[in-house]
Amino acid sequence: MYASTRIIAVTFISLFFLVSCTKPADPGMEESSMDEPSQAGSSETAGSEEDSVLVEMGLDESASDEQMSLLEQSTVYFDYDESTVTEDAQKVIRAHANALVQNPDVSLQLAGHADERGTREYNLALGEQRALAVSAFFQEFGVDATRITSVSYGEEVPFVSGSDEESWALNRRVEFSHDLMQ
Amino acid sequence: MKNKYFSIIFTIALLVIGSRANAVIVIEIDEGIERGIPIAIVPFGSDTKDALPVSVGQVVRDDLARTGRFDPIPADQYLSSPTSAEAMQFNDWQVISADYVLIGRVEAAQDREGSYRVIARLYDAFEQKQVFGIQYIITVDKLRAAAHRIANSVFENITDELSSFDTQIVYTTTIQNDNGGAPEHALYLSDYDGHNPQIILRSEYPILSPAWSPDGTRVVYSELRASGSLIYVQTIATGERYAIATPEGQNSAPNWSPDGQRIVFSNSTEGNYDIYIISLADGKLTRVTDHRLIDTEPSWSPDGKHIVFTSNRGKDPQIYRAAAKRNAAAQRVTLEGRSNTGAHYSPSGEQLVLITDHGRGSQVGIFDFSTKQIRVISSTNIDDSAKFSPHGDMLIHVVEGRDRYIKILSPDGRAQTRVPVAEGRIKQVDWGKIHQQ
Repeated sequence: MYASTRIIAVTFISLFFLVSCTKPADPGMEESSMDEPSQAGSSETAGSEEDSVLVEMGLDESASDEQMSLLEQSTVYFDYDESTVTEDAQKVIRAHANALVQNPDVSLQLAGHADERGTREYNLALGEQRALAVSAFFQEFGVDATRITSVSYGEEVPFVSGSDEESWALNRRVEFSHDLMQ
Repeated sequence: MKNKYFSIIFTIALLVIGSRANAVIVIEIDEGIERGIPIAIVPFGSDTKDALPVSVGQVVRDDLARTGRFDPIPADQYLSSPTSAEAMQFNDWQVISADYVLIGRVEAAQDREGSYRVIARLYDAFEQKQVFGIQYIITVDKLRAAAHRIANSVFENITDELSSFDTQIVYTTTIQNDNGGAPEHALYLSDYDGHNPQIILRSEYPILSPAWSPDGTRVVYSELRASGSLIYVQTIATGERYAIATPEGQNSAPNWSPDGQRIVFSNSTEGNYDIYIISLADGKLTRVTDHRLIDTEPSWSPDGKHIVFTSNRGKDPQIYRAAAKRNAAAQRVTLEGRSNTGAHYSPSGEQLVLITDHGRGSQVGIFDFSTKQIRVISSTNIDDSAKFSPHGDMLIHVVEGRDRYIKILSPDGRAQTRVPVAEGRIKQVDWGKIHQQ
């Protein structure tokens, strides 16, 4: 029932997706700066403004505050050299999957990333394995596979540039972004 | 081959400022490891009016030190500085325990305007005789190349092994845009020690896995694109390139067959990387592995029979080996370490260089097929992209982290030398296979 969508939900989700749903760029178009932690998907890329689309997802009134808070997270994290989706990550995925099920005109892009340890080539494969593991959970939770695309950036697009455990943990991730279905 | 090695029990860090501000050469000598051959390299004399752009003696000294096989004696210990055979006093060198002495000079060539004569003589101080004398007539831009040739002659005459001082490397960097625009990605060609860099490709896409063809004329690499990464073969001399007919999806980690006729690479079409071979002549594809987990970073054995690759089929990433043919059975190669990735064969095929996690981060290690053991040789711990030199006398790799650079390692790890990068954040490196003209 989209008519009963809570105002707060619409406001929040609209804001969020305005930022994150720029046209999925090739990795050449985005790399976080060396010094400042930056959202890889929102880097100041030439042309990104005209590419951005407003994706508004409505939620019915059953959406709880907890779900709202889970929807706020559009990144899930992994252990070192792992592509196992943690229980915390599964909760985030389930919340997003529920929103996607209610908004069939919205597509999902998954971008897998790795920390800088190990080789670039292996990390490219590991990022893909992570994106696919997340994709499998989205499908498990009812999102049709045809709505999901996944890509790996390996260690090429770190979220933060540090070389310590804390930075590495933030870089081992899968990011979700959305677009309107063609 | 002389065997006057001594065990030493302390660590020396010797800092030599090279001809470039950032060409800092760090020679670390680790505890308990055999010492190199003591050699004196006398500063080359010169009768030229203008200062020469290259110190020949310094280039030779740096070349030899990088292999870890030689310990050049500091010039301030020399009792004399001969530049000709007549001035050579063997006693002066026996006093400071030099096994060998290299002397030489650079003169303006009498008969050719703008050319130089470079003369070098190597002496065995113990036997009190000349080992060799060589001379090059060159233009000034070849002075550095002549110095590398002299270093090759010294290394090869004393060790009876080949050296790689006159070879080249390719490396990739990311150049940030100061105006906040998209970063640029570059593929550089340079001397093995980082000198004479030139860009051979600029791209808006990350350039990954550069690998030099066995004949030294081409380089293969992949360009990372969200829509599907392609593999390109580029002719170095002309800059021309073409995409090879890889399958749909992501194509990664290309490497050459020893005969240069085929490329081995990994492809992910069905959401998982497997190893494929493509024949350059007819585009014929051969699928080597078919596993539901990751198989990537293939590298061909020098005899052409095997391919090593990284797989996480045993949970942690480890190195596996398969015959270079369709549906080959894979055997696990590395048995120790939390992870092992990025393996490449040594020129002899008896060893692999790889990136190993032995609990201290990602480090360069050498796996020996005879002992099945891995020896960690790097003192840094965010290492990537490790390769042997064409003759196995050195290794090269990238150090990641905040301070990123290229490092040359001696095979025993005791000499670790920094190589200057032209511009940008260094990503990957490969060592060319052939000697320069």
